Amino acid sequence: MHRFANPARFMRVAERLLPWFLGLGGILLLAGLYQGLIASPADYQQHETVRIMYLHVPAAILAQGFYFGMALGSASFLIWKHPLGDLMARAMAPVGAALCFICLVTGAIWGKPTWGTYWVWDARLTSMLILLFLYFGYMALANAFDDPSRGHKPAALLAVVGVVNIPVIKFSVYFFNTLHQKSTLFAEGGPSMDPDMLLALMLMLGALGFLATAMAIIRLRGEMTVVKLRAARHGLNRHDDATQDVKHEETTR
Amino acid sequence: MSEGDLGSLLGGGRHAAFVWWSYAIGAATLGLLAIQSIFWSRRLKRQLAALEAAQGAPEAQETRR
Repeated sequence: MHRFANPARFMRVAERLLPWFLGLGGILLLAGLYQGLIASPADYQQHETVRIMYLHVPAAILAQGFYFGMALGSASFLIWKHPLGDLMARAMAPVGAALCFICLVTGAIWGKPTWGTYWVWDARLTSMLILLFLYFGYMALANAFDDPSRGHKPAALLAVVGVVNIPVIKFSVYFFNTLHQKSTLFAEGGPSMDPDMLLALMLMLGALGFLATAMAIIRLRGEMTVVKLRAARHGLNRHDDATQDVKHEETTR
Repeated sequence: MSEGDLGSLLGGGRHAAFVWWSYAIGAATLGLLAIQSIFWSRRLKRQLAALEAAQGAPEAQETRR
């Protein structure tokens, strides 16, 4: 496991996987959109709006999964000082925030015809909004300092502490009286939905999962370039300083 | 699949509009982030290449000297 903590080695594997993730994600997306928008039936109660589920639920699952991954990366950075953990967390944050935003917006759009309102301050919706704020807080804190290395630790701490929100989101529909329905996909005794709907949901979950991971790999490549760029600038500044010193010595001689 | 399913969704109506809006916002969000990520990563690579070239230039000059 620690073998892959080397950023260069990890990136070599990730770069090799990237085209596969993009290809699989694209194929699954086409299949999922066909199954979700065309082939699967409308719901007898919710009618066509049930098709929002095929985007809303995968976005919700992945937004939480990405945050968990971010927290794991941050924890490995704090405990073992693995720079890759911090870089991974930085790369995953904008992707997870986008997924969380999609989950909240599609949920609000779904809520209007289903509940008669776009938004209520109930436990599930509010805890999901807090997750979005945690993502924003992480990104803001990581980039808040002139010296970027000073932002690594506080941002990693926020990511680790914020992970307590994940079980709150999961169990909010059981512990509190909410408008949001209880779990259908991970219900006791298996998923309680039509097989055609379940297939659409799984296809879209796979599609978004592969595409979001591919996007995180692209961002990880960017984060690594930022580190190299900073080191190169540092080297250039040192070189300039050294040249200035030599020139100064030559002129004073 | 029946033609009715496809027709009712693509044909519009109040409920279909909610579905289309959801997917449009989802596609726009992920699409914009993907474009930003690709261009950001490329711009950084260009900057690094330029910096490495600039770093190599004075060293090469010094070697020539």
